[in-house]
Amino acid sequence: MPATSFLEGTPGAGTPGAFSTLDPEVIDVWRLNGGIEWAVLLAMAFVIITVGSIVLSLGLWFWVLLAAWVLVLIVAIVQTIWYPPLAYRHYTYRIADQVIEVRRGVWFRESRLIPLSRLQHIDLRQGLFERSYGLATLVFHTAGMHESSTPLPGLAADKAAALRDQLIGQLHRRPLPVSVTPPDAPGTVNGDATANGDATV
Amino acid sequence: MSAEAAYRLSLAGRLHPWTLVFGLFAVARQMLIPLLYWVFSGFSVFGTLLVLTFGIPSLLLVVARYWTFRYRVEAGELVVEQGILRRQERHIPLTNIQEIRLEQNLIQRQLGIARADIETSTGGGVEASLSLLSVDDIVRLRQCVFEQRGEGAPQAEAKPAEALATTEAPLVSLGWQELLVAGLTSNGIFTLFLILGALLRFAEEWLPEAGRRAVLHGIETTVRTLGGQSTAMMLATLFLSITFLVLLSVVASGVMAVVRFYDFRLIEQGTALRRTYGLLTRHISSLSPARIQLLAIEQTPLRRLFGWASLRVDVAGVAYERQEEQQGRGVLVPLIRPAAAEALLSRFMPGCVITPGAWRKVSPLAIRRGIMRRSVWLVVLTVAALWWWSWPYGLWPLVGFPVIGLVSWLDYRARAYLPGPRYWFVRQGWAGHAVYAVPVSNIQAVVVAQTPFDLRLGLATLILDTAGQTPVIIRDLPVAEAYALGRQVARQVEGASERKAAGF
Repeated sequence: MPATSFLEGTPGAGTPGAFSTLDPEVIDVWRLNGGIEWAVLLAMAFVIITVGSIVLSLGLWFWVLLAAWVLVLIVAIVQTIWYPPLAYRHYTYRIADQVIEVRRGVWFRESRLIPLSRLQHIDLRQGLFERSYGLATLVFHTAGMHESSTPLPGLAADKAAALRDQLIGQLHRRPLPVSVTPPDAPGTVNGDATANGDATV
Repeated sequence: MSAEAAYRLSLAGRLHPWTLVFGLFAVARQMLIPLLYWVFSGFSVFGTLLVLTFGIPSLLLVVARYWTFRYRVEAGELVVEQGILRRQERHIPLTNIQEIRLEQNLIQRQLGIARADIETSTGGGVEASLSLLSVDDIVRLRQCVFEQRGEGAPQAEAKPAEALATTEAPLVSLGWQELLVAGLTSNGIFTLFLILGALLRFAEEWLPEAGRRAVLHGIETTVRTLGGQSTAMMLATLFLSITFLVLLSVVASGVMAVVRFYDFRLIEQGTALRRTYGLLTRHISSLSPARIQLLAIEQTPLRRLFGWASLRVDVAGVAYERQEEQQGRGVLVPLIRPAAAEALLSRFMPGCVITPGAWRKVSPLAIRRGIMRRSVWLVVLTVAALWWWSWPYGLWPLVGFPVIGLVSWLDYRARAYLPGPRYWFVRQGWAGHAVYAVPVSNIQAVVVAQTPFDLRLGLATLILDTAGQTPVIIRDLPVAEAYALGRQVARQVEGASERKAAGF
């Protein structure tokens, strides 16, 4: 996919109003991350319940606690399987009219609009699972006090790097770099190509 | 070429020799406990050793700092260097300097020296602290920084000093009567707790045990003799003591305001705004209007009653940690008529004028949401009351329901917004009141958010984020309008930055 198609007004772009979805593989990454978080939490809770019951000799209360634990386990399983696709469906973004727009949230909806000229720098992050799935997260930073960083997860790593370079290029108002750094090079991980605000003033 | 050279080395200097004396005092204060031990132990050997081992290094540091500290303005940067073993040289671009604050206490004022704190937009408060300089040096430094920055060219430096002086225009000056009013109408409850805390500390630290007991006993017997006679007497005593405390706090906050803002003057000096205030510690701070993130015309309920307001400013990157600092530094004008404040807006930010008829209301559903949100407390209170009293009597908190309705309606009426081409205005507050003016060019991000309640009612919240500390939040907008406004303002921000880049 050519990088130029991300921006409005460039050839190959769809209708300006169209939102892009994330890479569907991000669902699996979210499931893995969420599953592991739940597993660690539940394992710790189990140990605390068991040891606590023995030490405090809770007797029958142990089974009540265990029942509660099983209930949480069921909730965790359902949440891990069912929630990520829902979150995926509500996570969209677009770059139109020189404004980055990221929408997300199932219960608590949020739409964040970042004017391109306000970008301070862009982080490209890859977690462990993200890397194995070839995905990356872009984090847009502004100089704002309260809403200063906006993450955009679930982008194919090469696409993320290309998007970042393109946006940075726009900031400096200079032609785009021709070559795109390979996604697995260490330079792209946490590669925060810093564009300070002076470029905009 | 000569102009270039003049521009390059326009100002250089070092700390004032008095720094050594004040440094000595600071060390002595740090060393209070070892010093006391030394004196009370009859200048024993161990005491001497203690003082020497702890005191000498600190003293050496003070001397070394004075000896190595240099500052200069060159090539559009303020350079501050210090240190012997680890030499540190800090370059601060003049364009990033937001404010040069001057602070001096009573003694320093007599000596004509002060501390200069340099704040930048990078966040985290003070970037460099020049302590101490002579006041003349600070004035020259300030002129150098703000003039060079304003024009970015050496012509400013060539301007004679008299020409600079003529550009000063006084905007606001407050006498002690007005400051007293400002203090009397500020938040009295806060001051009350401050005073009670101070009294308690005084009693604990300074009064001897017997004296403290005598005072407590005196209070106790007075309360008994007065309150023990009848219910009416008891109520009267209670009422009188509360009145006394409130009066005390009001008087104290009045006095505090006079001390803090004594001889307050706001002066437009070239491109910068200069505030001068303070009775004991004198503050002088310059602020470049371009860095204003938000202006707020705020009214406490009392001030609203008497038709007064205060003007507050948010600048980038300065998070006020202590309440005290916030009160002093964020305040642009402690007391002003709301109409005068609105008139001043355009003085600080060109073209910033509120068109009275152009205010746009939020959705009337806001009343319903307000009632729902506030009723949660009512329900909790009713449940507690039902548990405490029996069936019909426990329902008394429901009497508050009409009040909640009224408050929600007032709240809805108070809230409005005004999207302008260069400035957005937001007003809110049913008891106290606030009007915020936000320059579009300083908005960093826009967020449209919906809670599950909002989803059901078709409402949304619009948040305009700046680099200042006050988030501008417009609640209860119809969802389509919120999204449209969000896109509009984001577009405006882009446009503003293009205008800026084009040189406007």
